[in-house]
Parts: sequence; C-alpha cells; structure tokens
Amino acid sequence: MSLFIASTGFGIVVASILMIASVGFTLQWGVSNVLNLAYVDLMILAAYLDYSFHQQMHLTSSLAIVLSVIVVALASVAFNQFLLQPFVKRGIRFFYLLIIAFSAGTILQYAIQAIWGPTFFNIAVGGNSTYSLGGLKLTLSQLIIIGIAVGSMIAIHLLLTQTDFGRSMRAVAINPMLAQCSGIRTSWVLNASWFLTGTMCGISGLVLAFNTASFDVNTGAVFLSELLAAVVLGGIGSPYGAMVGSIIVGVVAEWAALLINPFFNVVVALVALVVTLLFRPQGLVRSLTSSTGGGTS
Amino acid sequence: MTGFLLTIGVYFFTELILVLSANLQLGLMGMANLGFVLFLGMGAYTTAIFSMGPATSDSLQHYFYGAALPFPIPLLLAVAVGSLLGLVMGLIALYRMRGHYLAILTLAILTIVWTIVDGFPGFLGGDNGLDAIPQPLASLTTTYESYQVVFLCIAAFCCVVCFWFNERFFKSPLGRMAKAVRENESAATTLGINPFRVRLLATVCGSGMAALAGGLLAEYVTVWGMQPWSYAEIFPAAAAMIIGGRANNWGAALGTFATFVVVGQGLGFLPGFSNNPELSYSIQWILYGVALIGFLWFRPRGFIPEPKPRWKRAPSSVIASPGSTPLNDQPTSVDMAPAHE
Repeated sequence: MSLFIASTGFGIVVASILMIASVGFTLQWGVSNVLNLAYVDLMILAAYLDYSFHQQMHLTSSLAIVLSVIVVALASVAFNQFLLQPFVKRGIRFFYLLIIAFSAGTILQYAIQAIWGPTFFNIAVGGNSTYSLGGLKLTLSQLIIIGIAVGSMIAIHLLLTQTDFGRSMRAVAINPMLAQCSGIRTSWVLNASWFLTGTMCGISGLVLAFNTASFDVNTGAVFLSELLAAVVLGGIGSPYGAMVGSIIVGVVAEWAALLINPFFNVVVALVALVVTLLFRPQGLVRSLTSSTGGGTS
Repeated sequence: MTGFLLTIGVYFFTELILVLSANLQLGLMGMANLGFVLFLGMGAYTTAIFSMGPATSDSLQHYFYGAALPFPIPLLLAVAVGSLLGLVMGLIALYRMRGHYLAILTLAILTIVWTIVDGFPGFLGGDNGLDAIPQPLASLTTTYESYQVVFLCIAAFCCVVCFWFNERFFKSPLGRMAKAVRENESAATTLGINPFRVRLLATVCGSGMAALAGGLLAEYVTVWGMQPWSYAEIFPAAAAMIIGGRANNWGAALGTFATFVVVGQGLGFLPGFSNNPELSYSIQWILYGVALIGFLWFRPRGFIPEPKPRWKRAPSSVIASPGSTPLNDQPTSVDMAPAHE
C-alpha cells in the first residue's frame, strides 16, 4: 500500500510536468492548427541551455533559468514567424506542415547532439530532504514543480478568461478570418501566443530535466508519447482538457508501471489515446479555443 | 571497393522498396500514415523467426517461435504477415480518422507495438535483438563478394517487382480513384467511390511492401533490433519521397539515391567527417531536414513532379471557329479519359 501511495505521489509530479507541457502544446495546436512535433525538442533545448548557462558560463541558477526559457520562447516565435507562417500563407497542406515541424525538430535534435555531444547531462537541483503530506513523500524540488504547475494553470485560466489577449487568442483559434474582420491583429496574436506557449515549453523542459537524474537528446522523443496522450485525451485545443488529461495520464501511467511493468506506462498512455480517438475524438472536455477541436483537414 | 559498391546497391534497393511503400500511402493516397515503419519491423521479425529455426538454449537468444524454412518462403510469409497487419491497422485507423488524427493514431500504434516488443525480451528478442539470421542461398557461392552479387540480384528482383506493381497501381483506374480521393474526398464520394476501401487497399499493399523491405534488410544484415524501425526512421523515407517527387516512382528512386546514397554515404568521404562518425551522423540528419524544408519551399513537387493527367482536347476548329455550335454540345470532361504518357 505504501508503494501504491508513493507511486501516486510520483505520478502527481509527472502529471505536473505533463500539465505545463500539454497546456502549451494544446494552445499552440488550437490557435495555429499545427501539430508541432518540434515542441519536445525545444523542451530539451531549454535543459541544454540551462546546463550551459549555469554550469559552463557560471551564471546564477535563477538567471540561467530565466535566460534559457526566454531563448526557447524566442526560438518558438521565430519558428512560427519565419518557417511556418510563410508556408501557411502559401496555403500548404496540413501534411506538409507536419513534415516541416518534424524536419525542424530533427534538425534541432541533431544540432543539439552535434554541439553538446551524445552523452547524458544532469541539471538536477534541490536537496534530498523530504516532506510528508498525508502519506505522500515528496522532495523539495518536486513540491516546487507541483507549485509551478498549479501557479501556471491559474495564470492560464485568468489569461484566457479575463484578459483581452486571451479572448483574442480564442477568437483567432475559432475563426482567424472573422477575428481579423473584427479588428484583431491576427499575426500579432499568433506570435504572442507562440511566445506564451514557447515559455511554457521552456519551463516544462526545465522541470522535466530537474526531475530526472539525467537527460540526453532522446528524452524529448520519449516524452512525446505521454504528451500526445494527455493532449488528445483532454481534447485537442482545450487547455482545461489538457489539465485533466495530464492528471489521468500521469497518475494512471505510474500505477501501470508499478502493477504490470515499467515499460507499460507509455503503453497505457497510448492505449488511452487510441481509445479516445476512436470513440470520443473530441476529448473529455469541450474545447475552449476551437469549435472543431483542432486539425480537420 | 567492389564490395562497398555492392553493399550500397543492396541498401539502395531495400530502401527503395520502403520508399515505394511510403509513396503509395503518403504520396499517391495522401494519407498521413506514419506507421509504415512498423511493418518494416514486423516483416523483418517474421523473416527472422521463420528462417532461424527454434530457439535453443545455447544460442542465448529468446523468441517465441522458430522454424527453418527454405529461401523464398520466409520473405513471402513476411509479405503476408505485413499485409494482414496492415489490414488490421487500416480497419482500426482508417474508418473515421483523417489528417492530424490519423497521423497521431498511427504514430501511437507504432509506439505501442515498439514498446511491447522492447519490453518483453522473450517475445522477439527485445532490446537484445536477434542475430545470426541465415542468409538466403548462402550455399550457392563460397566467397564473400560473389555472395554479395547473389544478394544484389535478389534485392533488385524484389525491388523491380515492387516498382512494377506501383507503376501499375498508379496508372490503373484504382490509382485514378486514389488521386480523386486525395484531391477531393467529397467529390470522389459523389462519383460512387468508397474512400475507405481505396485507402484500405493502399494500406494493405504498402504494408506488404514495407514488410518485404524489412525481410530483405534483416536477411542481408543478419541481425535485427529495435533501432531500424523506431519512430525516427519515418523521417528519411518521407524525405526521400518528397525530395524525389511525391506520387512518382522514378522520383522515389532518385530521392532514395539522393538521400540514402549521396548524403548517407557521401559524407564519410569528406575530410573532417571520415574520422568522426558521430558528427557526420548528426550532419547527415540535419541535411535531411534542411533539404526537406528547402524542397518544400523552392520545389514542392520534388525533383521529378507527379505526371499530370493529360486530357484529350476537343478539335480546335470546333472551339475556335466563330458561329459554330455552342460548347454545350461538346463532350463534357467526365467523358474524356485522362491519358497518362
């Protein structure tokens, strides 16, 4: 039983990391209708940048974190502005956009490998002191990760419902043409939302690397399965759905790893994805940002 | 040097079979089916376990079944198993899924099967892989190089058969139906085409082809593991297809040559890369990505574009001469059969 509680606690930590990543991913998908397979590679880029800034250039850890997140967010905006949008303006088919994102991710992954080398790196922080919360034993860094996740979810909720930017983002997601006719600068909103999701991508990459003992360029590709599962389970383009989906995928996958086989956390997540797609393709939660639920072409 | 060229030839033909499979599903049909490398792996495992014989305790390998069948049977079984699994995946995935959803679903099925094979070493060797897969017709020759010639002939024969099959498929009425479904599914449906059936047929044929490529690759290399059919391997095959020219088999051949032979093998000859395999591997993949994006921007139809269906024009005198009968009396475009060269 104690093992079960321990794995639940670990699942909550995984769910928190997944939540930050999947809300960014699903917003990106909902707003610009691009399945961005380069997302996980940008996540890992944040971890590598933090390693370089902190351990090679000896900046303070907080400055390194902020710098690496900003660089990843700017890279995300540049990816949208200089690579995706020119193609979108040409009216390219969605399949080619998928291939372009896949190409950009591959270029990034192997560029990282060429620069930093194929070995494992470690940027784990925090002491080993544990805190007990009703049977759950969590370290300080894990508590911080959960705190970051909860805080950013509240911020996203307030942003989407209370601010003009959030409302215009939702308008662009539902119908870009109509949004433009209503006086919204769609290209600005697109770039701003890519900056926002790029920030979430950077943060999630950092917390993923903080939480694992070591990472390399393939850590992102491994994470992609659970990310897609959480996003699709919640409903494509739906941030609240992604939050629910992350909790389900994170916790249930850890239980499966405990009960059956450590390999099975990915399998359980993906089986949930397949079942959702086949029987309830709109996901668990009705989409807030997109009336059709993402890609329809 | 001869041995090197022969090896490259064998790789070229086997990769071309895989690219042809991708060309049938992604190029002609326009499906975002990313699961085609799954059948590469399944074909390789089928060929391996039907030619290696039962697992013995002293071979230190584990797999759930084994038989030692003579040469063409394991490959034929691989094609059969690949097509059957393609049928299963098509029935699951193609009925309702389109676009992004199909891409995600096929990616998920690929990753599920990959993880299960990886996680159970007793099933198909898992991470340890299978080795000592017997080479076909090995008793015919004695030296290494003459055997390479034999295998090159086998691979070339399979490749020519697949190429011929694809050409027939593309130019048949079925191929025209496939193009109609790709370009406008609703319009195709109103003309009485069942899009699901056409997609399923393309998936079954493409899966069989990919399985054949996997079987040949496993028999040539004599080892098989998790790496050659992982998620990343979708990328070079799709790159070869798009660079060469989507839905054009000669383009696929040229694209395979450009990606797998020129970029894949040529980098090793450049100074500075020859003694640094890690870096040249990274540069190779970066080049694939850059070439793909560059081609999609500057030449989106590839080296050799897809042949456009040419329509028989009505005699120009009828259209141009003033005072002739109105154009309504001319045969409509539906009656005019497209003529490929």
